[in-house]
Amino acid sequence: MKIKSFMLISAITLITFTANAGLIQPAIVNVDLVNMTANGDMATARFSDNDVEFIGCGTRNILNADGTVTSFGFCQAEDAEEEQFTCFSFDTALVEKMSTGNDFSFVTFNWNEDGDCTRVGFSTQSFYLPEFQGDGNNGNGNGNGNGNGNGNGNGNGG
Amino acid sequence: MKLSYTLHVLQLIVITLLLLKLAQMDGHLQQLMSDSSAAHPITTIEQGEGEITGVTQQPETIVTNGLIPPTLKQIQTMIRQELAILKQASPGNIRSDQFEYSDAQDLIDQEIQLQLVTEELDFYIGQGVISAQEMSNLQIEIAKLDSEGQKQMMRKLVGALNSGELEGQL
Repeated sequence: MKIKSFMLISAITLITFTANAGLIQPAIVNVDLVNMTANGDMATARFSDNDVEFIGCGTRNILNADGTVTSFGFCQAEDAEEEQFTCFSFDTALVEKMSTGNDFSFVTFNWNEDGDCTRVGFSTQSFYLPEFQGDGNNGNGNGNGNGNGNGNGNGNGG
Repeated sequence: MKLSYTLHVLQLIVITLLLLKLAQMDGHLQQLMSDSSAAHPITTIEQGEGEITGVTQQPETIVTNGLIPPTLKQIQTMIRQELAILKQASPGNIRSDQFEYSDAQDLIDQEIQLQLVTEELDFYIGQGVISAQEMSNLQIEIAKLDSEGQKQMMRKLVGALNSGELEGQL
């Protein structure tokens, strides 16, 4: 009887724990070539069930022979329908912003007819974080990290 | 360098000639002032190259509307002003010439670099694929261009990536 009660309490506790995981709002990658905009969150893209979805921004800084530094940035995305786009910018302010994305950010960007990025935005919020499985039973961990301290554990317990 | 030196010498010659002309005109003016009485305005002065009319006692300020010919005094003032500007601008002009020469050289270098990058990019587009190392080298070459050239080449590169003509990662 005691064992049964203990198991029941444990099960209820576990269910409650799982149910209170907080707001989850994954944003799948969407590339809109007509309206020249793309958005989505990195975690959802990374752990999507296809092998094409991705989104992100990057910068390149090149030291020239005369001592000047040429900097440009780019944002790129591809959605599950394999629509993809890469835009770039030499604008100092935009390039600076393009380097501020975080590992689990929601990314949004726009471009113009020339393929120049005209807008870039990041949003780093808890509801974009991937699901961390604390019970060690379901094995939904997010890989082994990328060498930059960004790994999310293996989650293959049980 | 020779060109700027020549221009400098030419400027000096022009300044000297203008100064001589001014002195000559001053002399003429003095002579005319002494010859004519104050009651009779001078209507015509033979001035070598052209004819100057309507010289009267007028204020120093230059007001010309394009219809009334300027007076001798106004012309003098204008010449003085022009000379002052020319004297001030002279050293700057020499530097400007040098800049122009340097700019022209830069322009040629940029054109050559743009041509090289275009050919390189066309080669990769022809291949249909660009490796990470090749992309890195290409970006270094693009960085050597002026800002307009950089944009032009990046648009071509990104355009090729977007259209699928070229496979690779920025």
